Amino acid sequence: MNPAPSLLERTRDHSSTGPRSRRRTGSDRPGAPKVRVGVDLVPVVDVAESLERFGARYLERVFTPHEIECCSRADARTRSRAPGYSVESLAARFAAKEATLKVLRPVGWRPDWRSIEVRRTSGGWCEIHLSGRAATLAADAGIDELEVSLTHESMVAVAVVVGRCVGAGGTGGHEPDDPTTQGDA
Amino acid sequence: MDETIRTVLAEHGRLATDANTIDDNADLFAAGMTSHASVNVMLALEDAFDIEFSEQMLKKSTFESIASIRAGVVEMAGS
Repeated sequence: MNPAPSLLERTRDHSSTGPRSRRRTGSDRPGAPKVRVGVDLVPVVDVAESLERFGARYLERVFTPHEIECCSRADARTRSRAPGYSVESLAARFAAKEATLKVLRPVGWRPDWRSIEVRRTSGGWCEIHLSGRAATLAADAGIDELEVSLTHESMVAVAVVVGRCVGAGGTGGHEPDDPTTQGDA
Repeated sequence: MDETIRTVLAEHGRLATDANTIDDNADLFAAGMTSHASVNVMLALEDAFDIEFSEQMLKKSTFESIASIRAGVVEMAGS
């Protein structure tokens, strides 16, 4: 019995049917969910300067209590350059919020920063939780699942967010018109 | 008011062009203002004018130009 062809082999077979053929990948097969991807990069020094200049008001306008607690210096895994907080972790969370916006593609009124929350799980991984207008945007776009990956060095923090779109909303949703929520990092 | 807005933009906007000479209607995001910088601009404007932007004001159009910022500050100061 011949083994079933791998996805790569099936794609090769499809792409070799002629010059006018279109390679069909996972997300454009009939009935397959669509995927949206957002990425953002934040210089750590920007967050450090904001924290130094605006203090708690900056934290409380941008981050949720859970996020602030996760980035507090009490977390032994972080090295803070600002009193009380890991600015690297805060920068990673801001990048995650911005990457999520690139997935949600809001028009006009942007969601409150705090309606996009990065939650650390007991296993140490992070998840995105939406509320308010951010949750509405996701529902309208048919996004039923978000995955996030965060990383940071001493200078920069980066986040990638992938959203799975199902149903009618996945093919359209809100068109992006905000250069700060598009792919220009 | 315009001088204060331009001072805030010069200090916090991270613009690639001079905030003191940029056109009133120029797109600040196109001029280099990042999303994170717009948060700083918002907070600095609140300090400078003793106002607080409502959630409904936190849209791209509020901070996209000096003219739109001026309109937003006037609206929040009058509310």
